[in-house]
Amino acid sequence: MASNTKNKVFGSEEASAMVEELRAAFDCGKTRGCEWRSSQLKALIKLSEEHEKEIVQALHSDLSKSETEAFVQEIAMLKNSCKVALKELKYWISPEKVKTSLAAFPSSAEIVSEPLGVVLVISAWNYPFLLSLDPVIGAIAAGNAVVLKPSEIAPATSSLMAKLLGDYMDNSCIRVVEGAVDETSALLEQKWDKIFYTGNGRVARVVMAAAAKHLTPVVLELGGKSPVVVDSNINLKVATRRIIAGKWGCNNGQACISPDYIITTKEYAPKLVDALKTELEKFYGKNPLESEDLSRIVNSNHFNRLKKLLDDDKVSDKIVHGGEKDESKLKISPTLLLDVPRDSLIMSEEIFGPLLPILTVDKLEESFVVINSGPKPLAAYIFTNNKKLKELFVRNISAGGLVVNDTTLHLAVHTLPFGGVGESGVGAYHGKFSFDAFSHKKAVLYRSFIGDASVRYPPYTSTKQRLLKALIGGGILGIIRALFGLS
Amino acid sequence: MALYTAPLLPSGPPSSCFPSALTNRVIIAKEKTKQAQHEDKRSLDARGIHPTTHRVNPLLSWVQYVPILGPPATLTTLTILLYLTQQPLSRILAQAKGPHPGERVPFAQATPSRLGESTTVATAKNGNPSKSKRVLEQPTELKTNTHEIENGLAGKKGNLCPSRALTGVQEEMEEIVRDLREYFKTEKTKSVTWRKNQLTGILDLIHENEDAIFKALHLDLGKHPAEAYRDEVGGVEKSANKSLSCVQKWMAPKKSDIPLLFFPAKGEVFSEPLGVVLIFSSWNFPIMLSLDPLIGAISAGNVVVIKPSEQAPACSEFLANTIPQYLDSNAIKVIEGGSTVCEQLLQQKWDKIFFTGSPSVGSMVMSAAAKNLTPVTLELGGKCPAILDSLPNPSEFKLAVKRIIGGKWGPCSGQACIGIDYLLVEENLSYSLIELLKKIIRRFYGENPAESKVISRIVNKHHFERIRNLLKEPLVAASIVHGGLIDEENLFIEPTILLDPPLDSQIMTEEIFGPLLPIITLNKIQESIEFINAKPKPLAIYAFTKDETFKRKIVSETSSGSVIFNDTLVQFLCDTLPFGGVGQSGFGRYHGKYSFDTFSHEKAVMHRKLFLEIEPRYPPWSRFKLEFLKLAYRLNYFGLLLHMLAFKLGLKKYN
Repeated sequence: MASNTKNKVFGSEEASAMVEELRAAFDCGKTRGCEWRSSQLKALIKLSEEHEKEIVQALHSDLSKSETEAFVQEIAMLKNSCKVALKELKYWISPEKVKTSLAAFPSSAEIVSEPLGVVLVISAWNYPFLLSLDPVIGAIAAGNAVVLKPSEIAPATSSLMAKLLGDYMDNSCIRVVEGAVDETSALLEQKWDKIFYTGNGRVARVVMAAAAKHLTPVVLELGGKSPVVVDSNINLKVATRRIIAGKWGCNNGQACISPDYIITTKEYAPKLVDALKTELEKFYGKNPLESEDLSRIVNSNHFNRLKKLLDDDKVSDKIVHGGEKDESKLKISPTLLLDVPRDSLIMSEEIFGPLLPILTVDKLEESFVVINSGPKPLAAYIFTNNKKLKELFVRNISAGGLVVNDTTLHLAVHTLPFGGVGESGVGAYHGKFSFDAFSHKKAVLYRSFIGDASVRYPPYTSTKQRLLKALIGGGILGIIRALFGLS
Repeated sequence: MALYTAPLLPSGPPSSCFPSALTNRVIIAKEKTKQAQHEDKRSLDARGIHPTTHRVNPLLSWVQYVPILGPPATLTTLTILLYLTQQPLSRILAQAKGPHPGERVPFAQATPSRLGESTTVATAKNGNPSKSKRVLEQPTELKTNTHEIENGLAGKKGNLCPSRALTGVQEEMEEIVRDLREYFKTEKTKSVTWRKNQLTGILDLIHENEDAIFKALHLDLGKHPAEAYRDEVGGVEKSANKSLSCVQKWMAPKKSDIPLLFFPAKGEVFSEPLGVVLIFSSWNFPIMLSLDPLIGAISAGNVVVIKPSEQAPACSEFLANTIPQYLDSNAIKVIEGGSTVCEQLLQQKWDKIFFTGSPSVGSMVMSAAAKNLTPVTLELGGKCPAILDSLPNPSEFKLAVKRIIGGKWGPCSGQACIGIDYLLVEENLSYSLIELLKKIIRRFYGENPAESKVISRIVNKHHFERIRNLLKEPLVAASIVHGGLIDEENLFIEPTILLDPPLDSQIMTEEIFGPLLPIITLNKIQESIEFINAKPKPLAIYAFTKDETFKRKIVSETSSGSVIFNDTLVQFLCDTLPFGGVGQSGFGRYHGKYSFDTFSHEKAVMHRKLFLEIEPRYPPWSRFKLEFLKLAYRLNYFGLLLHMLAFKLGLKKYN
């Protein structure tokens, strides 16, 4: 069903008809039941278990992702999310009792999480499987009807998902629409109850402006230049390995939370570069272009963009490692650039690729100024054993998430909200936060009719007024006196 | 600047660029503050200002909302309310006399501060024009467009057009935001002390200027001081006190559990301020809806610009004059003005925009925010229904009707986003309901409600006309069963009840936002769910019923910002409940901790140690590593152990 849309022209008419269908399905209350939600979540697990091979293959054909990376960072993460949601669902959906203020006594109150309605998830190409289905988990857990628009830049995964979701999921409430700009525009014209977008800031603005027309709330998961601050008093080997794992081990740098650049001190920079070179060789061998463990660049557009960053006059002589390119295979080897000027092209936009510039400062505290002078990143990392520096970092650096002494790991922790701030996005998800992102928190207040005092209503008599006065300021004795009409 | 064909107030300038408009406005402002007995009738009528003598007991409206349980509980509740608001009764009684004619509102001059003076355009109106002159090069432009707002912001057709070149103003605006951002970078606003000081400042502000607030509210809306206290001053006080006592707790990082796999690691969530935030408030509760979000923004440590509604000019002016005296004027600014100013403001980059108002303007605000990916909170309205089930016990029925009246005409004469918009009832009940409504309305507001002075007036001519037009449709007019009296001179509309107006008439398709109460009769009260679901999601649903199944059905089958059983409006007082809409009634929530969260970014922080490394995390990949990771992801620690043992002992071979 879902994959049928591929062959037809998907315009605003089709989109509107589809949304109408989904809304009707949502309105009949199907998605609200706990059973429906868990059955769909179970179907997602089943889907990813039974078709693990195909998913890995699709990811390989789109991005040459290695099997381990595909498994660890996409399939396993997704299954984990599903399991967390399945396990916690009954707690999440039960209303939260809250105390009511005494002003409203006697009463009871609760906060009920209700589904928003029909939601749209637009996902990205770099983790085409995870970033498509992880938000869908939240949407399903919260009881919404969902339309997923996977990225057309990862076509194999996109069509695989359309097929699999069509086979495994309830198609009356969960749909996949494949396509590019035209299809997305047609979708954005519709009225949604939530739009969840993962991608870049430029498109995010279009999405939010479109959402504004229908007053649709949005979650925007964007990127940014995520910095890594490296102190000199550390276990360098562990640090470099973790940086490499976060940079090239994450889809060859094409990940929104990958380290974008390193800041370290002038003296320490050469040591760091040496350590990085050594570990890189251990990981990816002497000829990284041949390594099976490194993803390729997604397409020639991005390849050329990255090439341009390296060809910039300001940085072309700063390459201290790597820099090899293979245009036919769309591969770029892990590249280190030392002391790049801050006004270079590579330092003014998100790199999203296997290039890692290293900035040097005299004192490490200056790095905070460097980071804070740019837009707020999605993540920021620091490697240090200096307690004070850690505290300063946590206090002063505004980013979606911070990790001390590691990279990208916070993504895997479902108890932490994952989302950006400022230029890196709006809203958060993962675990309970996903559920919340797709829920409306409805305040429900129960009052009863018992014991309504006549003093509350006009017309006022002098007795009533005296009583009120005593009640308010006269103390117990005054009240008793007022009640007996003695004052 | 966009020019709109606005229905102008008689006192307003015929066009926004009239040089005389400025003087005109200054005179009005002066007159307002003096409130001389011999006012210029022509200009004052338009604002609906009428010298008043208050005869009705002030306790009427504010006590009305203190839900009470019999005399013993009354005691507790009232004492607590009093404690919460710390308001001596004598004061309330004294205020009941209302503003004295001829008394000058004690607007003090803004303390000269580097930035404070530059923002408050209001100083010019208030007699010290020299101070504000340097600020906004074209004050005429800023101030004279007040009336455009009718179409520009509150209107339905208006669009935020690229404004005419007001470069001077634009530059000023940019400078203000730049200065604010610089100040935010000094980290001053992040400290607990600063936040607490500002919250105390807000408390001082409302304590010391209570009379001025009452006066301003009376000028703008004809609000009775008691109502003003209950709905505005009291609410702000409660909110500020709550934040003051909780802010430190809210600020503390929250620990998060982290799976053992990541050992050694520590996770926490840090609430950090967003930065420079913009608050657009609305005219119906001009003090509350400005200061309540401000409390949240301050508690979270942000620097703030408030744009009060220019449709409540006296309150706007009051805020502009008073806030710099009580709060850190480097961090909190009030910018007054109409739609042009709004447009200019929306062109700046903000870290959060908090908007209270209508859906159409909310949509514009959000589109503008999209340019900078600014998160927004939209507090809008909607047609909030009340469902009245049959209540066999007559006293309960009476109580329900009382509370419905309180929820309809109590807050600003129906001009409230959470006020009841229409009432759903079973057909056989309608007669007794209407009789009772009439009876209680008469008892509450007297034979001639226009004289009672306990009901607010309609805010301005534009809204007055809008409401009058709702009644003009012949079929609607024919459905009036009570009230319908209209006093154009005083902008007053009597509490009006309509029985079964046509469902396709404007009164049933648009938010009424005025003192008209349509009653819709249904065959069975259960049909009300369907009725409500056919309309956009409202901000609140009120239901009077004792049927538990019906209650559950309402909660699970309808969608609205909040649901309140057997009472009205009390959810606004309850700061443990999130306050905010869904769908057409907005998104985002505030009050209590939710206000703090609305203006905070929850930053995830993960701490790791640089030892204990899991080798299979890194390439080059192998079968062993893949297997290891699979086990690790299942958090199968025992399996992991076996796996590693097997590997060490050479029991399994990988690649």
